[in-house]
Amino acid sequence: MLEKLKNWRGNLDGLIEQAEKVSSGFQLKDKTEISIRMVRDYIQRGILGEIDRSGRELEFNYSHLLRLVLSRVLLNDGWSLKKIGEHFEFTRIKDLEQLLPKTGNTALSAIKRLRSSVDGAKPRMSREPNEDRTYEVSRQAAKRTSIHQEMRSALRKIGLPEDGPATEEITLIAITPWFQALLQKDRIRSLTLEEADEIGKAVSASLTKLILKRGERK
Amino acid sequence: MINLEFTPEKNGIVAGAENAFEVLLRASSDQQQPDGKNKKLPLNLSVVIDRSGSMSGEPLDEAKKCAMMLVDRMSPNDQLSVVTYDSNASVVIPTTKVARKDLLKNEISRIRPGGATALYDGWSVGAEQVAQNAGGNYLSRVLLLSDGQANSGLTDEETISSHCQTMAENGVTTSTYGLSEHFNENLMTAMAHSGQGQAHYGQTADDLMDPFQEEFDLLEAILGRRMRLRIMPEVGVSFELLNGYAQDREGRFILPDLAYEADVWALMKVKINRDLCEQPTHSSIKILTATLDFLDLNGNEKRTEPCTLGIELLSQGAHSRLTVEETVKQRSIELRAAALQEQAQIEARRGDWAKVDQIMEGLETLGTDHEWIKVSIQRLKAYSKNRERESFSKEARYKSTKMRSRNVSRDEASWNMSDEKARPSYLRRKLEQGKKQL
Repeated sequence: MLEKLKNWRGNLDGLIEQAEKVSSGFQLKDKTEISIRMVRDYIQRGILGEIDRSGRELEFNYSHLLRLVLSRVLLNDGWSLKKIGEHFEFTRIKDLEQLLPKTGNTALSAIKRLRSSVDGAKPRMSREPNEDRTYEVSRQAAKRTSIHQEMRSALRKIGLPEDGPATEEITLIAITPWFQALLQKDRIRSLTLEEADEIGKAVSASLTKLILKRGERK
Repeated sequence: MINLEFTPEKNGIVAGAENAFEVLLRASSDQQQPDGKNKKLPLNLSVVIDRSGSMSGEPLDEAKKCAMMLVDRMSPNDQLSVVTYDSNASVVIPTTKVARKDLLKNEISRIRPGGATALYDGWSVGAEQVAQNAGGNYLSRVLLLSDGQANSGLTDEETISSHCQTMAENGVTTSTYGLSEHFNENLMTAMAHSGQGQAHYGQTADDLMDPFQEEFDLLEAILGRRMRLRIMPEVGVSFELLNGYAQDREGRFILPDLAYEADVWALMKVKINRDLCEQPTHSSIKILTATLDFLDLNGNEKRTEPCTLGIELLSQGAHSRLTVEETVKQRSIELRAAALQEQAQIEARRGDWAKVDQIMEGLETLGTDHEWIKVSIQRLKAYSKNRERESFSKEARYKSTKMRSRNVSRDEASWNMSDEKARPSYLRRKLEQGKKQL
């Protein structure tokens, strides 16, 4: 139904009316009606994006309508408003449209939404071009810290007893599955962005040196 | 048609007193399984195979054999996809009708081992393949196999399980197959539990075919799926369901799929206030009503007739002379054994073998009144005696899962090997969950 509303424009009341109509087609478990207060809250959180004004009145279009409806769908799936706001900020309208439940096949849209909720959005598929790969991988990996199993297996690999006494609080960062770093936990608290950047460069330099030493520079 | 039946621990309660007792609820059907392979629900499966480095050699060869066995057993109307994963996931066979079996098997035979274990990526790509044709009248399921820890991509157990649950709510269920010693049994059983599928494991590659056969036998025999049980207690009555079945958003309990010749069951602890029991002896009071929503063989939503449990009020003396219903007693023992094995698994993981030994003694006591428990804990005892942590943890976890939610044969009696052999594979009570047997 939303695809027929690509040229839609309207005021706040019109937005609520259209969003209610479209949402009712998705049979969401949460039957809370969309209210003016709710829309204002979403605007304040940045969920609906930039909004134009005509005099004193707000002017909405298709992109706002899509974001409002999709927010209801994602909340229904268990997303938080914070997470929705963050996701919308970096996602194109075309990709947001993919997350809407498709009539007759809720499973397909559900798996797409689930993947979107995971850091990095798409599963790493073989033979798939990966733009800006290096940055994406390290940013994802940095979010996947404190994994006890990984820590255990890393310690086991370097021959330390996994249940031995800990002398220091440390955190493990899996940069890639085969490249993991141990950090002093108290040092992380004072780490600055500049230092993180410097460390990144130092790691790149060390790895480059290893590759050059191997004589396989590309 | 599916019927519900309540069986209380005793056929009466004590008048003028608070009462607490167990009640068994069984869902079953009188329908006979039709002959002929085309009478089952069409299947829509994705086999997701771990091809990480550790699967190299016999494990991967056996996994491929299992996938090929599925191809052989599937009908031309069924749909199959095959996904592999290591550090990345790739679709080896996109969802397709199982028409040219030779071509499909050839593609499977070409799978080669790779690197790390991006388990979530593999599962989600498999789920997407199945989702393309989910709904309608397909029985849609992801069969995920792994021999390792999820160590690449999303690894958080809770998040992965919640995704399995969401997909199950949207008609795509998940079954998991753990292989050998190093997979994460907690993650794999949680995925199957949330994904409303089956949890299996094989100690060696050679043990893997057995659970695949069992799952396929079950898929061919399912007559009721998406089973949702609603229990409504009367005022003054409270209950607690003991199987650990999850609840949906409407508060209904999610029961396993029902197969021909089987009972799906729930055991509950019921408490009745004294006020409600302040009535003359030999009068009867209504305490619970249950209905079951499910999808029938044609994919139609159905609801059973409401089933009501009424019970007679008796004097203390008359009540004490009543015998305990044997079926209720057996299920109750199984659930207690399941809880003990779950606890033992946690203690074994912690390395507290003294506690494990203590729990094993409790299990042995339960076994005195339950032949299957008595014989099936022998291997578990051997693992605990030898302090084999991985083998013990896996067997304890899977046996516990099985005992909590298994389909029960309608003519089941005390355990003996020859009777078990005669049953359909999905109704057998195995001695060891991770071993091919019988």
